[in-house]
Amino acid sequence: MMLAALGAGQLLSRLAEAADSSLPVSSSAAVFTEAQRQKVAQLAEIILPSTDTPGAIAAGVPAFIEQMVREWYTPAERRSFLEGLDELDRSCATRYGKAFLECTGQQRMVVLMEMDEQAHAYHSSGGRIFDAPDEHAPFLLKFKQLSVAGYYTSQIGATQELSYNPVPNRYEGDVDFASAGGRQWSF
Amino acid sequence: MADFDAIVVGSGITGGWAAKELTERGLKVLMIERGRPIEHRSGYTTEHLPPWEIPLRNFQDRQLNASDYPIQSQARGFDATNRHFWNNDRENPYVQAPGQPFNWLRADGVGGRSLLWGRHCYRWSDLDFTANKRDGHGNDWPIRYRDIEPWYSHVERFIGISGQAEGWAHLPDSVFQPPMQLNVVEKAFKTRLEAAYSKRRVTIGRVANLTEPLDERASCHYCGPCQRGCSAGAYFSTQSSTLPAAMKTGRLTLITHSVVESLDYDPKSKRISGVRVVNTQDKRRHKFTAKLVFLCASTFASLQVLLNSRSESHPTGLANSSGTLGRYIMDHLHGHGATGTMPGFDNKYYVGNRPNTFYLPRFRNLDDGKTEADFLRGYGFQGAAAPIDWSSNWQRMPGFGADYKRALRKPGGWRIFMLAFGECLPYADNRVSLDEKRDRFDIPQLRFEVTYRDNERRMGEDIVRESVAMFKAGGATDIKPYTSAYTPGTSVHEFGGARMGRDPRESVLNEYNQAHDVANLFVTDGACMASGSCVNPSLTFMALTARAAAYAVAELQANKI
Repeated sequence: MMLAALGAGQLLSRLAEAADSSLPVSSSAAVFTEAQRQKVAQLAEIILPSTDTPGAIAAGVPAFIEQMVREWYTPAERRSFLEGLDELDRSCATRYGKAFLECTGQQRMVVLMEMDEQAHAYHSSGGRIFDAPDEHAPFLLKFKQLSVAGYYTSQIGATQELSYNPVPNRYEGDVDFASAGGRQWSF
Repeated sequence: MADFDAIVVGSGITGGWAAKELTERGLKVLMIERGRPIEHRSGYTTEHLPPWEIPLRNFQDRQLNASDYPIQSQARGFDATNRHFWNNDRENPYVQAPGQPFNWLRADGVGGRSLLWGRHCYRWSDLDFTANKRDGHGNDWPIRYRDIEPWYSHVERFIGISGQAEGWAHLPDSVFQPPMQLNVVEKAFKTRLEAAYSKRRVTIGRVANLTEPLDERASCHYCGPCQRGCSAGAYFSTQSSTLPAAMKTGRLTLITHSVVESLDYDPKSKRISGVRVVNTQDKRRHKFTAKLVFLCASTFASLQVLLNSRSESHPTGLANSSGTLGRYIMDHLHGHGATGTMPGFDNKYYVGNRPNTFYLPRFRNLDDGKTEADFLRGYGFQGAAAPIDWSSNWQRMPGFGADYKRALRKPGGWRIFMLAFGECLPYADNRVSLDEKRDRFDIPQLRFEVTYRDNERRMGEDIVRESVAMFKAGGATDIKPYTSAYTPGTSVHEFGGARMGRDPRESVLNEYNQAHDVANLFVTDGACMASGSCVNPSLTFMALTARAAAYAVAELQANKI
């Protein structure tokens, strides 16, 4: 598995590049501290890294997550999300005596793999990407939902990682997946 | 001297048809729409938005839905990209009797639900028209299939319906454009189902989406989200079809932001002498006069107008000498069916977003001595198979990182689902009436008292049982039934309240949708229905409207109205 451990400088420059994503600049107060913003960006990039197509940061996912936490989450859901970010630090501290941002890529992977096992074992009431968050779901599951939603509806995710065909002009109900491009339709 | 030859109340599926037929037959028509203007093309403000430009990427605005659209947000297909076509529940509320929830789902704007509908069109057969007579629930329809058959053709030739001619007695073929395709998984389901059940069938949905150009309308581009509006005109709506036709005659006047409050009745002439309108923007009141009035405001809105048109001559509502006005309300039992995985198609895919489903017609109670069930009437299914895409697969798959991302590129197998629409019986106690509460125009709000009963419950259980069994026979695994309790109204297929009938003592309208009591009043939306069948109703509404318009004009010209 490729480990992407970003230094602060690289992280900030990537965030700057992605800043002209089409998300409107909101005039309401920021919901993340700078440290939280960095954690969110790092975590999103670990979940959906740069591969042969750009990753979460390039696709504007961190800003999308912040917008969702600010505008779409209820106050209780927002609190729960921020607690989850804190919990991430506690899990890292328990294992390695350091906060998430100070851990190496390898160390972060160990912690996240454990969290992901819990997330996958959880049987959420929903499951579709646009569902309201399940308040009892593990933090990583909720974070994944926002990351995946933000990535695959972004211009990069929808047009580069997936196949984008808004006006197909025909319907064919029996094609080989490979011949359709080997990538599923973004919608 | 009347202002107009005819007034049409409402610009939706039936209002648009009334306006077109009446203007084309030479009448000067005023069409009155409660909601705002929505122009073809320029009104479809979200039509081409890519996902990254949709506010919140189309996550629901939960706060706005809760405050302004608590009912409408329950409608199939409601989302942020079409919310602006739906009624604002906070601004325009209604009353539900305690313990009897009813979802009144409706639009607000020119075109009404013709912009939002599912576009499925099926003809009734005499199995439907004789249902009330045969089992004694409701009153006998005053017409049969042969009376409406030429009007089905008339409507179908104009609107364009794509579908597969099958020659089935209980689901008569329409005039069809070429059918859309079933996909590879649906074809496999069809083959296996028809082998396991010799009398059951699957066909492609019959939808008012063009597969060939028709007049100035282009054929379907398979973009997907029809409900945002279609600038190509590929599906039937007031905007794409009937309104331009009516406008072309030069005899149509359309006013918007105008809610019809009541109809004035003149006891001397026994006619409607005026249509009272409230402007929804400045609350000023106006009155218009016409020789003819076509009420096409949609089932419940038309009933509200009639109930509110009380007078000394009609103390319980206009045209209500029978006492049946507002009664025998029905919709379609919905929300029951099943879903399952269809294994063995992992390398198969599709191109294009088909605005259609398969259709599995009614196989219960076909009056043949062989298909009786422990309930009356029947149900039919709409369903589809589709690959499990990233929006569902994200949670089914564990992991994260490059492997997870790479795996999400591919769909995760195929799922199939189907949901039934079931015919509800007409019950006298299922009714709407006027509440004491008034709306923002001081018009009494509509109050719903609708409960389904034993027959509907037994039908629902049969639907679930049969769905699961049919999916098993079709090769599905991991089959899950859809069994949640049904809130009446949710199907958006509304019927009753001003039913047609031969006898004025037990019906509101005659065989031509003309009020028994008021010769210049016609009601041609769902309010006119004496029963509901189990098939999608809009085609029948349109055919009845066209037939009634032809009759009304002939009567007018013969000085009988």
